[in-house]
Amino acid sequence: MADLQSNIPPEPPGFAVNGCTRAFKVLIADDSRSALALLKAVVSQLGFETLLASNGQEVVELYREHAPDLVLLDVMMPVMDGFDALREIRSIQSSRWVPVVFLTALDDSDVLKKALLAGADDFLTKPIRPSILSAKIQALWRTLCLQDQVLSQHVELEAYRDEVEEERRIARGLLEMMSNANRLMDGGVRILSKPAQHLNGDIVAAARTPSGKLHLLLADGTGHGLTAALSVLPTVEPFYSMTSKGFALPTILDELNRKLYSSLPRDCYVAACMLGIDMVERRIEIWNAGLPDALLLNRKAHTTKRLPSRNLPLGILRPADFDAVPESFEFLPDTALVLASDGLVEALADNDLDLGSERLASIMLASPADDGWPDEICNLSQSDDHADDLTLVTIECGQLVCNRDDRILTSKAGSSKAVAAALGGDWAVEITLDAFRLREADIVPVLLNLVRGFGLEQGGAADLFVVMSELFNNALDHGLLCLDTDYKNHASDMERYFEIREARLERLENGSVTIRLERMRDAVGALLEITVRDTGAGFDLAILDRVNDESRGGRGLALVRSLCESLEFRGVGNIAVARLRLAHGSN
Amino acid sequence: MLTVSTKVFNGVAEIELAGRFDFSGRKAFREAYDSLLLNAGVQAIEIGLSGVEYIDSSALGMLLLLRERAEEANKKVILHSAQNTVARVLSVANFGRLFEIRG
Repeated sequence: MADLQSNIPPEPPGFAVNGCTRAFKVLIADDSRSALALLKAVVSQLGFETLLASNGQEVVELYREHAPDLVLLDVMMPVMDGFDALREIRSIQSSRWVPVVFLTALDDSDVLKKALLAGADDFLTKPIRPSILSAKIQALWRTLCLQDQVLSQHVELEAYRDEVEEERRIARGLLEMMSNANRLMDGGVRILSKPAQHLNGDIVAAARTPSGKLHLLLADGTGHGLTAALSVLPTVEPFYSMTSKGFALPTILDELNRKLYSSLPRDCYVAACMLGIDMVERRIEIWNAGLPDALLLNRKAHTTKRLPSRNLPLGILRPADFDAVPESFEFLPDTALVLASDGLVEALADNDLDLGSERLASIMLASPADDGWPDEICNLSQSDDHADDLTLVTIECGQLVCNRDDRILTSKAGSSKAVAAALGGDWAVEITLDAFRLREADIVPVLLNLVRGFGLEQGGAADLFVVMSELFNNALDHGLLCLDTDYKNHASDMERYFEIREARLERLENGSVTIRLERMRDAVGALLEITVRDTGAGFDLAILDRVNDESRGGRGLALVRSLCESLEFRGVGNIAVARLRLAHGSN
Repeated sequence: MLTVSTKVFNGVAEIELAGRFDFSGRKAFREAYDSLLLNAGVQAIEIGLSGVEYIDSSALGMLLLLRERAEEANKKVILHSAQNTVARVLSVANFGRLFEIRG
């Protein structure tokens, strides 16, 4: 024994590798008791735990029971030799690598080759020299420590990934609920949406105003995934809420910009395109800020008008510097509108936005209004290989229904009943807007909201909105802006009409419009008297009779007449008085 | 991959960008201009885009951030030599309203 003792090397210096302090277990197998004792001594000297076996069977049993980190295996053993034991060990599934070192008395290259092929990681020839054994074990130990590190990082990573998946799942649910464009089941509006990752940074929102005008918003936040989706989120609620109240495009866009400017970090913004389609006024308004060209297709003439982005995306300009002026076009039944996010347009033409828009226009023109998505588009959306969110919206004007959405307004009926009961009977409200306010304010929705607080019967709000809007527009356009003589009945002149209107409104300095609402009762029941007065020169009442239902102004007044019990023009034609009968069943 | 090279001459700093200008280049871009903003000898920062073959919305966002910081430091930011698709992206975003853009 004395000889053996002197052969055992002293404890090696610098033992800890990467701060690895786990206690390693070494399984030692040899049928010679003295060899076993020597091996055990060397391993214990290194500070490791030992498991001892004297035949192959014991090796397998101990391996199964104790899961050692390293195995020192003698080749020649009774009951089961080293090779068989090795095969058994290797057949046991494990996510860890357990090195096996063969101890062989034979210096036979065939045996060594066989050993390595059977799955041994290394070998040592007998007689074992303690210094070499010790060195080999330490080398293997360094690799085992590295394996430990990798495995624990893997576990951490898996846990992190599970957390992220869960967060995404919840975020997706929230986003879908908030931005669900399915709120609008509108024939004629089709939406294709395929996100690049699990969360979509593009949203499409569509809704009708109380007078049945269709508002649609396509918004694309910077980047994609969660950050993009979060950037775009603040636009959803104001869009729906303000549309349902009847606010105009510029007012809504103003609010969207304000909200995004104050809530997004400086390097985030939202590219957007907003449309307003007014079937009564026969007008399409479009405001494109940062998205590829919006397309106005004329299906009858097979032509396309491209509407490029002429505005900075939302959330960049200070509210005071922001001014949305949409472009106006005539609404025709064979018009179709196509909006797409850059992801889709770029995918159509290898990152060339220009060519992509051209391609999109020809694809959509060639595809009939009634069919599903054209093949080229389906192929794009089916392939999973796209880096950006893909969104496409088409609106077939011929398929849009011209109706007012009373549902939006009646949902508030419950709460206003309580107010009505408290306020009771009759009331009157009057507001006057001077030239400055007329340029800036979107007065009709504000008034409507005020009036709703007084308790308006079901359906009454929609009618009131239409009457107030029409009479107000009439007073402004004809009374103050003097637009009568300029209007003609052709498409190009329609666009010219709107251009002139904008220009004159911009320059308006004098004059005012007063709206007065009074609730009163007569023998039949309750009614609302709406008076709209402007300080303009009025107009020849005789002209009113000649204005036909197809002309722009004529259509509006015809609608008011159909909704009201009476419509009169007083003074020099600058005072319009309409009486709207309210539903029965109120005080 | 975005390559960034900077030089200062006569009060004007030139940051020459090349490659893909996207989210992965944010650190390099930021580091390039941070010190320039503190440099009192620099009055204007010119960003050379001739070597940029791809630009996305996050890069535009980085430019917005630079613009804000430059405004605070009273320095001008100029973008120049944008090619093809890059020029198109800048034009669709109407960035000409925020930056001086030269050919």
